Order: sequence, then structure tokens, then C-alpha cells
Amino acid sequence: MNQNLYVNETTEEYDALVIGSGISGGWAAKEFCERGFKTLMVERGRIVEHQKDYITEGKGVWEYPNRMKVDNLLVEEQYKVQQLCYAFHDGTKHFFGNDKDYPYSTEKGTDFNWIRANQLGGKSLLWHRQTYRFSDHDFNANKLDGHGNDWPIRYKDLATWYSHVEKHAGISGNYDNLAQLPNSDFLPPFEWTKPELDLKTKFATLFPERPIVMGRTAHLTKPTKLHVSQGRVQCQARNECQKGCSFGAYFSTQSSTLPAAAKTGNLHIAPNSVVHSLIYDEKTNRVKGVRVIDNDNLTTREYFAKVVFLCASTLGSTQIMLNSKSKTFPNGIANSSGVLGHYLMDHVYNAGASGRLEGYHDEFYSGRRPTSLYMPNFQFEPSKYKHNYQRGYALAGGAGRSNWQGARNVDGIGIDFKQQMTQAGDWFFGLHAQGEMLPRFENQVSLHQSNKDKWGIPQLHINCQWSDNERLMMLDAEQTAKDMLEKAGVKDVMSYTSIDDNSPGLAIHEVGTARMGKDPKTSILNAYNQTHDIPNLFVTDGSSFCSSAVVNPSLTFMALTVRAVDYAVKEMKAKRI
Amino acid sequence: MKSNLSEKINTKLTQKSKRQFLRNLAGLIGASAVVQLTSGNALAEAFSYKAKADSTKHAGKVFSQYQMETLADICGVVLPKTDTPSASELDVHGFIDHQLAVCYDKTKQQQAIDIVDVIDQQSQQHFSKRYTQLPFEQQTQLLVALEKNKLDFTSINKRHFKALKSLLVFGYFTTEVGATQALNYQAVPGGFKGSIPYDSVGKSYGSLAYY
Repeated sequence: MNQNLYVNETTEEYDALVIGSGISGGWAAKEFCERGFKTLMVERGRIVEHQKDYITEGKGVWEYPNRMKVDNLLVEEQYKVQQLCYAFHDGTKHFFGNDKDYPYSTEKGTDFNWIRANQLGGKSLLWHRQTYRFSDHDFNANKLDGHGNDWPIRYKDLATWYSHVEKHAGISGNYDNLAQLPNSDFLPPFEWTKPELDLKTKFATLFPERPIVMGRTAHLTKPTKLHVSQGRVQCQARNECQKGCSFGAYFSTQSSTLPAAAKTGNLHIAPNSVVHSLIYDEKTNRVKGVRVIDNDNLTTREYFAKVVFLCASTLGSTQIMLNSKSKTFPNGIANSSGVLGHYLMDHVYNAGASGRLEGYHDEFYSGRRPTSLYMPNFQFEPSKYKHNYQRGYALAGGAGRSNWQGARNVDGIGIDFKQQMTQAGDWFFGLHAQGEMLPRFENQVSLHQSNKDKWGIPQLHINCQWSDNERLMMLDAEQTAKDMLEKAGVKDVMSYTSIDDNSPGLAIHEVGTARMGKDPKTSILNAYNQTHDIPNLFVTDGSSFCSSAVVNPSLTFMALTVRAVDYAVKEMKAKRI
Repeated sequence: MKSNLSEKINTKLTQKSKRQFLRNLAGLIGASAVVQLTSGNALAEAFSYKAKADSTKHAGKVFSQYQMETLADICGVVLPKTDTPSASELDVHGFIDHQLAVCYDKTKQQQAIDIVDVIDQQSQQHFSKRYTQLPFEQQTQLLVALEKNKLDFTSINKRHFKALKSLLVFGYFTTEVGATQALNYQAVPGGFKGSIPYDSVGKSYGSLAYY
């Protein structure tokens, strides 16, 4: 990456400002740049360069001072919230936000775990890389059962854009031809283990309505010429992705969209630029640019462009909008509807079951598969709902052999115990729920009345709770998973529901706070992620979602973003923006 | 062509850290060649782990010197020397002392101290010798008794011992020797194969996605 990419002070009026550099921002920048638009990507955090800044990659566990655990004191002082994320450890902590710098409050009696990744690349460096298209069942759900507002788009509106991003990003998976889980344009799927294949066969007989497939993931199982030309190579199955991957084997801004954008010569990046608010011109009803506070020295500057894309993450974009107040929009920019900040959703990952498999002691695997099995939502339309709650959940999991991590608690002293610890143990199989959360007006983020962060920006105040719908769903998911495992012959099945131990946020799939919709009175964005109120302001990250659906959201962030850029460019050429 | 490059890379490995090697790999040989060359164990080269030889010669961060001596022997008894070194030879006792101080709370630290003391007290009570002076067989018997709630060991003792043993096992298999010699270490597996004969590996993997 060359230094000419980066700007600090500039008076240039860009064609497009892209706020944020994560999954959505990377795509917005690439698409604008490739269409010949001068683009400035504004990132609040530091620069992270591909390969060079993956400082923990390839290190053995013994090379970490605390063997990959994080110092107590450091956790207490700086990472109290971030440490709750499954991917947080001594090899990844530098890609997580420091909680001290990013305070927020929660309504009394509620909690929300806000996981932050404020650096170039954002959460694209840390994501779990599961990639699924929404189906029309997802887009129809709100309309059919009356929760939330109707999505203004359907599958046919996104299908070609899904393909567009998939070919570039590289998505591995199998052509399963399921109504509830449309195919992507796939690279080959990862392999199944032998016990998994046998269980798949058993499930197919016992539960024909619940197909199980290989998890689809943004990894290059077989790179195309396009991927090789991006400097990316085949996935080596290390499954240490969140440290960064010099092979560029998983999709991230750094590995995929940023090099493509930079290649055009149309990209500039303003790092360490914390967006305070959008600059709004009352006379023209246009956003002119952004007010920025320097991440390090707190000085202020402004950037200008013809069109602004907010891709700062759901809560990030919402915070910027809420803090952009004017005579016309006293409660946040483009918020004439008043729904900005409402309908916050996450996914509910709080139930599952696992148990022991008999036999297969001569079977093993090689490498660390960076994905798991996936049983897509089988309650994908109202006729399939359970009687006591609405919507559904997917089950993800897989089989593996136990090792010293699990076995170290058994009784045993001496040579036999040591020998046991060095051997692969029994096979285990588990399924874990990933449920949909309903959109509810009461689940809201707002600006705190008085608390500000170190940049002087009002902090977010979050009021978000599970409802009984999610609670009943998880109780059912636990029983269902347990029942399936037992019927398939899995032994010693243990199950759990943990919804009352975990607050929303930890799925890191927060969405919904600047939702799309047909009606400007009840939504912020139109069918192209353009704000109803201001023609040159777009929001294309998760805040635009009308429902959480069941599947992981990132692929849909990508598709919505590229579609919105295509639309914005047409509108600009037609002089409507 | 391939073997020459492999050789070149293996030579370079001894000179450079593996991480730097990975970073430079694509630039060095071009993207398409990387895929073939990085499969297998070529990169399982590891850095040297410097165990402290003198952890029992002074007080630790959590344990007294006397307790460190007891703990070192406990390590050597739980995971003794076989074709791979014992836990005490790898300074796992030194690691436990460090890890308790840095990553555990005061309650857990105290429980570890207490169980080490209890083991020594039981040794004195039943064998009239401190734990470190017992022959290896009796040291083993005492810990076996602890896990069976025999002698005067209580179920609480057993729970605290299990916590200590868990950290001990973690400490052993996260040393370089533990991860790469006692276990099979795949730094760069080269891809995922879903079904291979267990005998072709013969032991568990020391390279894990999450520790």
C-alpha cells in the first residue's frame, strides 16, 4: 500500500465519501473507485496494512507471554466488554477497541455488549466469515407475520448483486438448492468428517425437513484467476483468521476490496478521522461533507463530497446520524420519521446440545476447518412456526475429537495420564442455535443526555432486551437439538439454554436502527439505502435491515452496498444527486 | 522446480522467523506456488522455548520457595518424563506461578497455594517426610489418593487439585516441546482433509485454533 493513499488535511471535493472501512465501507469504496469516482474513505482508527500489521500471525502459543491468555489487569482496565467476544485473546486483542476509549451506557436493568473494531478494515479482520444469502422467506417474514415493517426489496432485487460480490470475495460452499437458503456462486465446499457424513445420512432419514449442509464461508478453497490477481492464495486451514491472514485466504477489506479500490488510483483514505457529524446544507437539502475529529490529537477538520455513504457499522452510523442535528432535523439527520435508533436487533445464540459419538477411533482429520456444519432455519414461513413463538433459528455445529483441553479434568496421575492427554479422545458432536430476534420499537439506541467520549461526541445509550419470543425460541431450540442428537444415536447428550446469562450484542450482528422501508413516515431509507429525506445520503451497513433474518448478515451488507453504489452512480449521472 | 524451492524455503526458515517467512512468502515465490509449498510440515519449525532452570531456587510471584519445590515435584509426577520431557523439566511449575499471578484472581491463587500446602502436609502426616523427599512411587500414590478422596483429602481438596492440574496440563501442552513434540503440530496444515486414518498421525494435535 503506498503512502499517497492517505490524506489528512484536504480541500478537495470528492465524488464520494465513504464513512467506515469494514465490510460495507470496503465494498462502497471499491465500487465507486472502479466507476471512476474520486473516493475518500474515512476511517476513525489507525492504519492496518495487509500482512505487515498482522503482528501475531504464525506465532506459536508458547511465544505469547501468557500463552494467549490476556493479562487480568489489562482486561479489567481496557477490555471488560471486548473480552466477552469468543475471538478475543492475546493474539487478537490489538484488533479490538479499548473499552476505556469507547464508553457507552445501558438502560437500568438492561445490558448490551458492544464489540468494537475501530481500525482500517474494521470487523472485516475479525469476522466469523459465514456467508449466506437471504431468501424470499426472510424478506417476506415481516409482511407475513406483522412484526416490523415490510422490506422494500425482495430476493430478485439482490440476486445479481450477491453474485457480483461473491465472485470477487470468494465464497466456499455446496450447491444445496434449498428454498430457505439460496445458493451462492461457490468455490468448492470444505470437506465433511466421516462421523458428520454418517449423521447427515441419519438426519436425512429422521428429519427430512431439516437438511444439514457444509457451512458457507468467505474462504478461498480454490482461488480463481481473479483471486490470484488480488494477491490471494488458497486457504491453508489454520483457522487463526482473526490474527489476520497473509495468504489473503479469507475475505477482508485488506485482502480483497481495498487493493481493488486502490488499483484504480481513485481512492484516498483518511485514517484516524473520527466523524463527529455530517455537514448539512438546509438550502439545498444536501449533505456537503463530514466534520472530523482527529483520533490522536483531537484537532478538527472537514471533508467534502457530492455523495456520502455511511458504512460505519450499525451503531456507529446511527450515532453519527443522531449527532447530526440541524433546524430541519433536530432529532438526527434524515430522521423525519423518528424511527432512527429504534428496532435494534442482534441474533440470539443461546441454546444447543452436544454429546459423544461411539466408535470412529480410527478416523481423524487434518487441518483446522474454518467453518462448521449448518442446518438452516426449518421454520422459515408462518405455517412452519411453533405454536408458542414466531420465526425460527438455524443450528450450527459439527464433529471433532476431544483432546487435552477437554480431557485434562479426568482423574489420572503419571505415565498413563500423560499418554491419554497426547491421544485424540472420543468424537463429539454438537449443534448450537442461531435464532432470529424480532424487530421491536422499544429496543432503542439514543444519545446520552450528558456523557461524552474523549472526542467530545455524545455517548450512545442502549436500551435493548430479549423478548419472550427469543426466550421461548431458545428453550425450544435446546429441546429440538437434544432430541435430534439422541434420536441419531449420539450418547451422553448435554443441552443448555443460556439466554438469561447473555445480553444482546455478542452475536455481533447488530442491525436495524436506520431501517429501510417503502413508507418515509416509518423508515429512514428507501429500497436503495438512500435516505428518504436527503437524496445524497446513503446508509448501507446493518442499520438498514428491517429484520435480522436467521442467517449471518455480512453477505447482505455487501450486496446492499454494491447495489446502492450502482444506484447512486446512476442518479448522479442523471443529475438527480 | 518444486523441490528446489522447498529446499530454499527450508534453509531460509532456519534463519528467519516463521512469521516473517509467511509475510514474505507470496512476494518471494509468487502466489500460485505458495499453495503447493506450504502444505505439509515444512513450516512447523518452532522457536526455542527458554524454560527457567532455577524456578525452585527462589520464591515465585505466588508461591514461596518451599512451595515451588513441592509444585515442581507435583508437575513431574502428574506428567512424568517419557519419550518427552516431564512437566517439571519444562518449568511448568514456573509457568503456573506466572500464570496464576497474571491471569487468575486472588481466590484462585489462594486455592492453588492451599492445595500445594495440603499435599505437603498429608505427606508429612502419613509418610513423615516432606513431599519432595518421598520416592516417586509414593509421590504418585499420594496424588492418586487425593483424586480418590482417600487419606485425609476432602472433595474440596480434590476440586482445587483438579483446577491446578488443569493449569498444569495447559502449561505443558502450550510449551514448544509439549505442542510440537508430545503432540502433532500443524502450523500451516495446507488445507482441510475430513477423513484420514488416525494411525497416520498417531496423536492429538498441538496446534489449535483457540487455547
